[in-house]
Amino acid sequence: MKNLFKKYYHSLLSPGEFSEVTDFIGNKKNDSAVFNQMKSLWNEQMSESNAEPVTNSALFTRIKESIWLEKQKAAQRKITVYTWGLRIAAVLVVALVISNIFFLSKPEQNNLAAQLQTITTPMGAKSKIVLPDSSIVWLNSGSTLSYPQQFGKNRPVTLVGEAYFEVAKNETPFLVSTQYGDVKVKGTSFNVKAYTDDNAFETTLEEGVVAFKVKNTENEVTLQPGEQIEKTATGFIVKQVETKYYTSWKDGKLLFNKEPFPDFIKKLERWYNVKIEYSDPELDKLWYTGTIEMETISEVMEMISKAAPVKYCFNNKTRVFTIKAK
Amino acid sequence: MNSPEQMTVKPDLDKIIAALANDNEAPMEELFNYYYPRLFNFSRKFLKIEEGIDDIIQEVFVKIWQNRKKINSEATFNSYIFTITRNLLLNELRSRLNNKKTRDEIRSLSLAQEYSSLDEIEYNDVKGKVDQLINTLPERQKEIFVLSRTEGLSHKEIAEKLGISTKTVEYHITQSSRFLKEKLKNLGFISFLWVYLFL
Repeated sequence: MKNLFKKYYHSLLSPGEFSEVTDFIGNKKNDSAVFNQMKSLWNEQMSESNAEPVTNSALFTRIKESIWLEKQKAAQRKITVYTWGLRIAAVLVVALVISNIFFLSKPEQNNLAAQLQTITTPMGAKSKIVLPDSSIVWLNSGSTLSYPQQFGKNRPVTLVGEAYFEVAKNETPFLVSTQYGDVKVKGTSFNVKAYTDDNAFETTLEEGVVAFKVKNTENEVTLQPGEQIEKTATGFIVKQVETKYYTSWKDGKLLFNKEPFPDFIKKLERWYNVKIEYSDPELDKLWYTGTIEMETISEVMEMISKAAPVKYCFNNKTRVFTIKAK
Repeated sequence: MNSPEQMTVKPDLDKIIAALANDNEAPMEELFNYYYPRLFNFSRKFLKIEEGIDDIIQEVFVKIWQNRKKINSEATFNSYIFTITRNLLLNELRSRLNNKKTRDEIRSLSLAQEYSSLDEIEYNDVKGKVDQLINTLPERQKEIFVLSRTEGLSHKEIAEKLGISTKTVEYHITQSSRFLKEKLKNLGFISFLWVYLFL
């Protein structure tokens, strides 16, 4: 069997041997033998001094994102444990006085963890969520929102990606944590965009008041309706915007007003879950104004090639659109 | 970002394990840079298909983070990262082998090149001839070919064993393989004709 595994790893099998080795792997009774054969390959690959491919920074970004979400969940769990802790403490004091026996078992970590909801929308899809306080959240493509099943003294949610919030008016603060900083409100409508892959952050306010606190600092900015805070290379800036261009996605429309070509392409990629590539830097100078509502991606590409001096092609195998100057 | 030279240096696991246990995720990058290429090659040799490997590697690193408090020594780390990768890969391979389409894809990626154009029935017709054909190869070529196809040694391992360069091994194997493929094709064709004539 050892030789067969080696032949499988090095792609040296004959057709008959392929069935033999895969039938062996498929049978759960052979687990420990399979584990041993995997361990030999493992030892060989781990001791490799110069392994290719060298790295994959996009994958590492995804891993960092997941770890960050894990940390947020842990932090929210701690808050819940703490409030329970106070209630249990009072009962416990009584119990201790009466019986003098310590019987408190380990807190049910799993049960508390289950109280945290995480919702992820895949690329090309959107979803609408109603939170326990009846606030409404529209979650854009490729975004993740997590929130406790029950809100307590505050309303903490965690966002990776883009979401539009219609927060129910309520005295307890509503807090959106992102990788770039926290947005705090009481009752209002606003859009937060905090995808991790393009290191871009925006919060756009439609109604009410929100406060934004930059991560790891004490800097806090308050936004008025119609204002947007945006992350730039040098820091955060606040500007006046027409909010509909930033919030129309929740109604199934993409509005563009002199949108620079790279941003336009990025939005299309997320909206339609496709990959669009171009290498000509001249294209970066183009911009686009208009509305996309019911169009398919092919119609949109056709429209771009009519409106601008470009042509496009689609590779069926890799599912990538490539745009070139005419 | 580390330079490629630094990535080949094994990270100081004791230091990294202590930092992780302290909820510090900074050393994850060093771990990733060192283990990613090795995990990727390991997974590719086992799954054959590259698609999906990155998702598995992501899960490995997230699991390491989730279980950081339980990892208290280099030995636990080493056995943990192996066990988690092994289980994820084995589950994935088993489920892919149960699907006709992916099974066929894995099959074509794990056959030796001389068999790549044969299906199982054609192979059964010609397999008796293979040993005879191998025996007609020149001595050195035959020795190298047998080490590869019977013992499953990689080109590098054969080169080390015989004290010759990997390039030489590759050359001889390509020659033998091309020779066999040509002969088998003719044989397959002839046996096909034979069946056809006598039906």
